Amino acid sequence: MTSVAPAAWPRMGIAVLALVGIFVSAYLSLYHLGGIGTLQCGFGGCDLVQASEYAYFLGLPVALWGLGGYAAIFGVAMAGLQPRWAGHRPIALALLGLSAIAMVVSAYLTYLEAAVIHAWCQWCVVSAILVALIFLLSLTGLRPASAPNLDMNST
Amino acid sequence: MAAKRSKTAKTKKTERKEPPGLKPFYLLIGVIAVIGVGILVYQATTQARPTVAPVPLTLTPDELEQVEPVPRGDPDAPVVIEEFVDFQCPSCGRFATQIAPVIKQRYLETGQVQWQFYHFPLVGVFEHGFLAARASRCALDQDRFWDYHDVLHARRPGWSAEGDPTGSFVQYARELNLDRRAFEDCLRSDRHAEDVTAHLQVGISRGVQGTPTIFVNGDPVRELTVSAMEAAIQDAMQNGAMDDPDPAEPEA
Repeated sequence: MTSVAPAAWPRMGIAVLALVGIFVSAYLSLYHLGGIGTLQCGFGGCDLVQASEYAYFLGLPVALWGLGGYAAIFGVAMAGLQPRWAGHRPIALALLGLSAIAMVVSAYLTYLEAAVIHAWCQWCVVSAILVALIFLLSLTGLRPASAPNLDMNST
Repeated sequence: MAAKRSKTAKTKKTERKEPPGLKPFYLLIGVIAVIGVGILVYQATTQARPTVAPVPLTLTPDELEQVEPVPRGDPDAPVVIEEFVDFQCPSCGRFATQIAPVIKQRYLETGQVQWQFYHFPLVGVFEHGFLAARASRCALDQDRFWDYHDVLHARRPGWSAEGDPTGSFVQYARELNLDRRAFEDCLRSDRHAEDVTAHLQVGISRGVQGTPTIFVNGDPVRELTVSAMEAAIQDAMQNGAMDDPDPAEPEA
């Protein structure tokens, strides 16, 4: 029976998490752009966080930057699953670099929520968790032995 | 030789073929994408967006007479000050923060004046004026119109520069400890759009052309200074109470 080599699982996981992140950030972006009237916010203060000055960076909603970041990670992870890129270390490095940047930004935004805005946006928390998981998975891709082997004849 | 070429072609075909082990993964990606897009479309189509412009409304002269302002002070006061305001208008902000407080302290709090507020959003001039007016009406629903009125004027430079000030308006409601959910539901709807439009039409029927426009017992005040306002109030007191356009029914 053919199957995906175990080493490909991290990139699959990264792609799935990044896709979820795309929709989370798209949801928040639509809110900022006026496409969605009310945020679904079970706890915390989504409106307070999203109305703060920190919700924008270089004139664009932070959520929109996040959407671009998740899309880039998703794209690289999907490319890394293709047989021709399976053993490419640059793919692993690109995933690690992108997720490290996302991790730093996400950590800073989480700090702002906790220490400056004093309110929590549950969607931002979800995004922070997604980014942390993506970062951890991208670390596993650095090990030489873990380059995805997509030779489907292996079992 | 031919057999070798055939084998090579077969190998290339096999290489180009999508790895069967990835098919379930692609299926999962597809399912997540469909669900995600579905949720976004659902949210975008069901979550109401705020009404930010006057709505079609035809009022007869009698109905215009019955449009109620937002009152403040003694309803039996001998002098009535009517104020037509766009919250985004800088002159309205100056009047509200520098002149009105003096007049209110001297005359409203002493029962000599009743203040009557009318919305007059200058549509086409100030893009957020109508939404700000609706926000203040949402605060009125929770009996906090004047507190919200003060915040809107005080923080006008901030929210008026925003592309969409809805979030700021909700934040102000939070800061005033209003019921945030009720306020937000109100703001992100078309509620009070007719009330604000009705005020606008009252102003137009009264000849209001700009903001702020102030009437003291029905007479417009040309110069918006404390001294001019006080002079107008003194004149109104000497000339008697404002003519009542709708005299009370004689007692039986």
